[in-house]
Amino acid sequence: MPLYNKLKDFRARLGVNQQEMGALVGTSRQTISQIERGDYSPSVTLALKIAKVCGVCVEDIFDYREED
Amino acid sequence: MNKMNKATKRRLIITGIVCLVLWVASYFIGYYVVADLSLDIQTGDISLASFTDIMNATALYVTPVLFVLQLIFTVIYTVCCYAKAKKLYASWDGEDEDTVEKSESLISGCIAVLSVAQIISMLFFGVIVYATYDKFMSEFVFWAFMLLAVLFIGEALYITFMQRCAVQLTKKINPEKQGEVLDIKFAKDWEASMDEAQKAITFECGYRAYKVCIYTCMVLWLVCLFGIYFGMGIMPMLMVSVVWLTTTLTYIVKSYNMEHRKGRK
Repeated sequence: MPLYNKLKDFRARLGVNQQEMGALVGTSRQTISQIERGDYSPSVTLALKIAKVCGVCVEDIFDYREED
Repeated sequence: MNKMNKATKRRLIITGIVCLVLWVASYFIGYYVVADLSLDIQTGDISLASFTDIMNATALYVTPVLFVLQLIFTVIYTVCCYAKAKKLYASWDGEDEDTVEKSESLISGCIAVLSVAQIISMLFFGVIVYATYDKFMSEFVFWAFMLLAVLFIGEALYITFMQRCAVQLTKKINPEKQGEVLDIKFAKDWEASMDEAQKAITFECGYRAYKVCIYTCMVLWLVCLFGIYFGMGIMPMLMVSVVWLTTTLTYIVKSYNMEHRKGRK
């Protein structure tokens, strides 16, 4: 999957665990875990919510790179 | 090149296994049919009736044993899985991903075994009813059947109880999850509490299940067609067709509505 992210770092900056992060953006701990591992690409809505909670732009957290 | 070789090897192995299974199945079916035909040729009456008798005898003596074995396995496996999952959850600090994932994986294993056991026990019990319903004159058969009926009801209650325990533990791990197993609206409440990632997983699994169901119906239809020569009648074919039609129509109607924005969430 060519979508990379720094969600784990931003979550650490906020000082919250996956459960709390999930509650902040209205999703589950499992989904936060899947996004951090790169197993799931969030919808635009969820990506925007995450960026808003972290106080940054979506591009600061998520990075799309074409695979070779 | 290596990948091609690996894929070819895998296909060859699968083909070999399928051939082996078909060969063994053909051997047994052929053995029973030929044995039956020879027996009937001696009496001058060619029929395949005793093939069904052999199957009935097998069902009468083997199925109760298999039923009890699956019951024992289900109870031991699910109790162990649940106890281990609960222990892991108790030791979870809210941060360690491995611990909580292991716990959730054990709960999934527990629920999977319970779901399969439910179907298997219903199948076995149906076979037991079929094999014994005309033999209740025998006291032994009657009491053996009563014991198996009690075990069947007991297993159904155990499965419901254990499913509830597993769901309650899942709800403790994921507090956003909603739904009570004993409530008739459980599936609806559970689905409503899912987020986008969980819905994506569930719906993809549902689609895979639909595809497998359609292929299975095709194969079963063929089996039912050949079964007519073994005195199965048209009832099995009717049942397969009902399942096939229900699944296909549900899919077609839902996809049509969603494509035309009716009932699309």
